[in-house]
Amino acid sequence: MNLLEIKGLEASVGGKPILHGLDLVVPMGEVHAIMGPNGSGKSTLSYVLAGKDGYEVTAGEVLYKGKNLLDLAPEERAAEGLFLAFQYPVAIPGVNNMYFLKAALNAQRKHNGEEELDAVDFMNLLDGKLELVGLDRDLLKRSVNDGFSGGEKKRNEILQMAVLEPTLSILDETDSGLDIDALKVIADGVNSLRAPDRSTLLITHYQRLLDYIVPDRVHVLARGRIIKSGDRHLALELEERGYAWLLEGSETGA
Amino acid sequence: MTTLNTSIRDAWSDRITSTLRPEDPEWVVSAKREAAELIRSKGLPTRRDEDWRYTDPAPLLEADWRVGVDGPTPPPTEEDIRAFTYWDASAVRVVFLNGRYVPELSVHRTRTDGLSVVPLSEVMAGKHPSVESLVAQQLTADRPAMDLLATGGARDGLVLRLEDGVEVEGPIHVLCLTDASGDDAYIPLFHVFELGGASRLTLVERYANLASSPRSFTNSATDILLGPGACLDHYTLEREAERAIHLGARHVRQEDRSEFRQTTFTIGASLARHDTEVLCDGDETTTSLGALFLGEGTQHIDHRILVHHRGDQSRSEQLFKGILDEGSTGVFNGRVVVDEGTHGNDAQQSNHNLLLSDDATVNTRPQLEIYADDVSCSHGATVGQLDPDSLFYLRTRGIPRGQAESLLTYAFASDVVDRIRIDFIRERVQEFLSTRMEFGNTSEMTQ
Repeated sequence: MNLLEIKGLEASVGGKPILHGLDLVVPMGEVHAIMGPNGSGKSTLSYVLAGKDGYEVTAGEVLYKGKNLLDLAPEERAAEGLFLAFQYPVAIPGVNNMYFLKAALNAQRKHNGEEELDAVDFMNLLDGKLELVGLDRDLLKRSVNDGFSGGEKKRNEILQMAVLEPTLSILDETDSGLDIDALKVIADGVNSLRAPDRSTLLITHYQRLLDYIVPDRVHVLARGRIIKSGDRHLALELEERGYAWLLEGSETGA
Repeated sequence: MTTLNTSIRDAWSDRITSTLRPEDPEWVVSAKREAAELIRSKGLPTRRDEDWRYTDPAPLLEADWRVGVDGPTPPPTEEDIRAFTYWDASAVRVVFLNGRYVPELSVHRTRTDGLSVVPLSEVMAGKHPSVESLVAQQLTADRPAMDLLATGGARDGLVLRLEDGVEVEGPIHVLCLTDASGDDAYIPLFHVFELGGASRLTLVERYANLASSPRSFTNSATDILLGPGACLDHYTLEREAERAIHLGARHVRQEDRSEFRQTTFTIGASLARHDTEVLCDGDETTTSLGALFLGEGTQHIDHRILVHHRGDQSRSEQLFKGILDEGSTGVFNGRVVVDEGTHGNDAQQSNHNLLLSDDATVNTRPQLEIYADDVSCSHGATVGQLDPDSLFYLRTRGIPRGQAESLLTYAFASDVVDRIRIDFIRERVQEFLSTRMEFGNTSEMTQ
């Protein structure tokens, strides 16, 4: 079964077309990587999938669990198990991180007809997750991402992912700006969620992350379309040869 | 126009003299007569006055207010005022109803040597000679005409004096209530707090209405004198009824090394105006002013601040935050003056406003007047909506839009709420905000 099917997706931001007929299929249980040069539309794709205002879909469709994803509000997509780990997580002074995590989990549980967790049960659940991402408990007492270092922000994203246990995780350049230890932590977090009933879409600029999270498929996104797909060896080839040889091909083909 | 203004000022002058009583001692008579005469000679503010530029005083001055209200008989009971009394930790609670002291509801839970807390009505009746000269001096102090209406007309209020070096444990609560008999009534109050050197006090002034919703006009003036090294943590919680008018003015004078910390919550009244003037007379003083104001419906909420640095090496900060919904209007008029020849003063001012509706308005007017060279000052003002990126972030985590908006609105207010050092008041304010912003338990939300 395909968890995510994107067909002929075209999208604009502020009237400027960014995605030009993007096709992508992510079967259930698989980890797919999307690589591509700067400005190719990687972040636009992740925002369109998460439902950000101002990202206008002009053609094509996106099926998630066989249903039209684009009809759903961002919070409904989240409740249905879609999660976006942001490239630049926003800081929200005044909103306690722990309260935020609990509100997010309970909103999802409520949506799924499950009982909301109380503070004690939630803390118990959280303890194991904190260890997984190597975050100190003190970070929960602070405001969401407020004053966090770059690495802490990314770990906080993975912590949220670990708590919400999404069906489809989209990681938008989560590896950028991280040292090797932080990268391993992120990879462990993602790998621990690997399961036959979950899929992951890794959006990344570098091959490096794929040493730790081995993808089932690798796609190259350039000029708003997937121009090449392959197995994990494609990532290694990109690392070695760059994107130029593919871009030339896409130009002549266009 | 002139004749209209003359007749209005004469009416107010007469209202002040109408509060004279045959048994009043000479100092009360002369103070009231002087106030009445000043109103007649100086006149009353109009919208042309800089201080009243965004709030038109005409409607409230022109209305036909009664002065002097008889309270209900019997007076309200403990049960009637329960909603406003959560002060288990308070040392003293003083209750005023329609501008009159209510001894039956006022409680001295703990006695502190060196602390006098007495109603102005008793001082005017000659029962407390030790504070008479203090009150007489403050009654004749120079002040704006609108405040003269309060001090000249007042027959009651709280007179508090703290001796040198005395620290009062637990806050003192001043509860000023209005009930149905306050309808169409002008209710002046005059409070005087004098803190001796190195004394410490926490004080809460609260303005509210019993059950009904009177169309009353409360005008309170609070004079605060802080001796060397004195420290006052002062709270004003103003939640008058929706048809009420509330003017509140605080005049503060700080001597060397004194600390004045004020936190104001303005939630109620159709028109609320809060003035705070702080004279940093001494050196090394600390002044911290914080306020949160919430407007809805057609409420008009105006804060005017003047912090005047006249000494050296003093610090002042202002944090004023407004959340304006529906067709409400907010005003922030914040002025900082640093005198020529002073050294090492540091003045920070910020005013941030959140507009939750297209019809809400805010006028923000920060003014720095710096006449000294050796000084550090900054000010900032913002007016905006909820941050769309933060809203999106919360929604991508499954938090529904309405809840996410509430959460961000609450977060906006949180640094003012966090100023409250009295746990049970902070919790009540948090509860109030969470109800107002329509979401559940907030106790875990703040750090």
